[in-house]
Amino acid sequence: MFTTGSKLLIGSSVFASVAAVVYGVTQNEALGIVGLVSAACALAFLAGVNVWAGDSNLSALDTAAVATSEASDDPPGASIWPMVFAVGAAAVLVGLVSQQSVFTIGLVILLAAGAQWAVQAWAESASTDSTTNAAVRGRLANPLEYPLLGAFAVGGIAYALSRIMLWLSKTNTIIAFVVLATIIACIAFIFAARPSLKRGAIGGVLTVGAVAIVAGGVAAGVDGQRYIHVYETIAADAALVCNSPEEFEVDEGASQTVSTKAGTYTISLTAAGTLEFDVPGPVDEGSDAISLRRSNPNNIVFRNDSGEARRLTLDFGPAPEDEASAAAEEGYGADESHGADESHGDKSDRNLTCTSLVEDGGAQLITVKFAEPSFAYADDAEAYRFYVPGTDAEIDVVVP
Amino acid sequence: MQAVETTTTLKSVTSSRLVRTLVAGSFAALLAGCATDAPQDTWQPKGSNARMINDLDWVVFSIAGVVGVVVFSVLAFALWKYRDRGQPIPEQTHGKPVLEIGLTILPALILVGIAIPTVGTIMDLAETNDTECIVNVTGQQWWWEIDYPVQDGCGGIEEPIVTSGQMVIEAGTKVLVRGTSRDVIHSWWIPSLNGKRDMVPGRIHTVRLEADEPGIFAGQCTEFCGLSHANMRMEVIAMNSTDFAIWKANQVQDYVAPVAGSLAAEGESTFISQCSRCHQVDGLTDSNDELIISRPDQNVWSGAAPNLTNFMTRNTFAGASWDLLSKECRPGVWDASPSTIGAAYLDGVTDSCLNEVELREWLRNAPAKKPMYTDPESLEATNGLVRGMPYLALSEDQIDQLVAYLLERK
Repeated sequence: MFTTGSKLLIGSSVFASVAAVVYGVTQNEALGIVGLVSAACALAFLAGVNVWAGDSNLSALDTAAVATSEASDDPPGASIWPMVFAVGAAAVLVGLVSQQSVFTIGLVILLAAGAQWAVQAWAESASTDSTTNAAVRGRLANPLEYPLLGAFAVGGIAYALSRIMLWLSKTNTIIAFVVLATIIACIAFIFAARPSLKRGAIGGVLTVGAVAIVAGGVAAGVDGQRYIHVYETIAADAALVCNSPEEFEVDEGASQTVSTKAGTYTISLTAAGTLEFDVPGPVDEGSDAISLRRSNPNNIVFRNDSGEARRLTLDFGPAPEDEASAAAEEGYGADESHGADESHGDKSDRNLTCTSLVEDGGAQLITVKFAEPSFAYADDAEAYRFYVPGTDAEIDVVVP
Repeated sequence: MQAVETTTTLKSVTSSRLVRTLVAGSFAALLAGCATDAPQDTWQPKGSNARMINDLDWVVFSIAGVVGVVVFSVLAFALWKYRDRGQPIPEQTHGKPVLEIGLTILPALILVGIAIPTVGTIMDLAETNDTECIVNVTGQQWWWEIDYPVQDGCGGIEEPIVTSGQMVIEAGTKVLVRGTSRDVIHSWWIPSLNGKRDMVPGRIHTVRLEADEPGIFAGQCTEFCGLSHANMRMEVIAMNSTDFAIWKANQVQDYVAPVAGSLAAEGESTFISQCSRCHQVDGLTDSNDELIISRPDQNVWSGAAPNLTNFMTRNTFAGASWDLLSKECRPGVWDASPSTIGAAYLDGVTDSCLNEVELREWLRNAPAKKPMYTDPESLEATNGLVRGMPYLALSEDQIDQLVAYLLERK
């Protein structure tokens, strides 16, 4: 049956609808129509709720009916999830027009808050007892919440630690780790030795420690990491490094051994200062030219038996024009201050690659790939040639 | 009752069909082993290395055969003797130490017996000290490049030779193949001359070849290497020393340009504009008399395309998958006797013997003839580089010109 309240709301809704029609006919203005139609819809919605609830006509003296009515149920508990959900939705919208990371974070918040909200709403409809409902929610949500929260906590602390360690110098990082590990071990020892310690005390200590690390991580992250030196590479500075018998930063700590024992070619710098090569098969392929394949990664082991630290350099021919001009602008090549080997002239316009400095008795692997056949450089005596800076040793390369 | 009988009859029919199918299949497999025209039959060795493998096969298969017969005979006897006749289950015992130890030692001794000749053969096949000629092979999707480095071997090679698909060697010469790959793993296998050898990027693997007498020996890639793995074939052409010397000399001859105004001359221009980006023809020059150097590394994923300098001295193309010789002329080379095959091969492909139909099909639309990754819209993974020869949209006139030009590449 329609209650008085329902009738009032239905009537109001009908009145708003009629008013919208009249307004629309008499006034050529849309805003009023929108307002009246909205009001009609809202009133109709409230009327529907009122009809569905159907409790407004109960007599307060009818205790049995009052006890079983919808209104006698506990009201929904206070929930933070709708608000978090709204924050997530806002972040998604902002992210759509700004940064993808904001959108992603918003989406994660939206999904997590939506799931929590849904679980809470589902649990609150399980019974009229809020304690029972809370237990129902816990059974479903806790197996997911605890591991996830634990992972986030551990991840946060680990990330904070990493920021701290990157902020400290290398030496201090080691000291800090030793001190921190010692503190953790001592605290753990005290906890183990004193089982009667209150849980609150343990929790407090752990919380303070975690907060301290996270705060330190935030501070270190804001301040930025320490200076980390980017080491030179041969490719970045080939014109300088490959023409010099001197040691550069790129040569520091370079490997002096090769694990490959077969399946490669070998070029050796002998004690007599000559280059000799060894390839699979006993047939003599000549002593002044090694044949390598075109467009193929040729792996070559360079062995140095000369008694001095040396590198093996390969001249591919003239450098592409853009590289040559860049090298010239930086003053590489004939500039003696860079240690260029004068015996091979100005190399700033050459396309070079080389090994790091190989100690006496050491070996290194160099992989070279030729895009063009050697006859393309028939007029260039320097091209397609292995040589050892600081010596006269050289060997030609034939690429069919 | 009738249903039970029907089921029994059905089972009987099904069983009978299965037996008939198995017998027929086995018989067909047996007959397949009797094929006479089987150029890739590993049990028809044509050289010392393949013969070593063949000799080992007989030892291993003989021992394995005896073991197989004994095992299956004992099994059949046990199945028949102790078949279910309603008798009570005999006493179950566990452990017969003497029998178990004996049945462990006996197979071990058999395996040792097999291992001795096997290891000996492996060592012999890995020998390189007696090499008389070195040939490099390089696999890529889906063809083999073959080059002869400068060396004292092979009767002396003073200028590198590059070819593809067909390796020419001197019969009776111990050849060492040094193989690698430019893209994925391939496997070199000429069954009548030796076993398989994987060709791995970044590594040099060797395999010995020696042909007893002149002939053509077919093979194919035996490591799955992509879409056209089945179309990655190769041949070894063995010839006598005189013919081999002629072949070598011909491979390093200077480039001879087509006669001005001829169709082949037009083909040269078309080749320069359409083909020379990837295919090298040694000695070919542009209008400024500058050498034209192909740059397949800028167009092809493997970084290589067949060198076509002496294209018509070979008699197959496109990964040795199709004949350059017409059906009428092919037997004159492939079925030639050992004494004449060298001369027949050196004749190359003449105008009248060219398999023009398939060569034109290839030039018209190569990916339609041989599956390759060349669709411009699906080359993201290779930064736009093709795997194989792409569709070039050549006109029929251009194809005519190219065929005329290629016919002169001898």
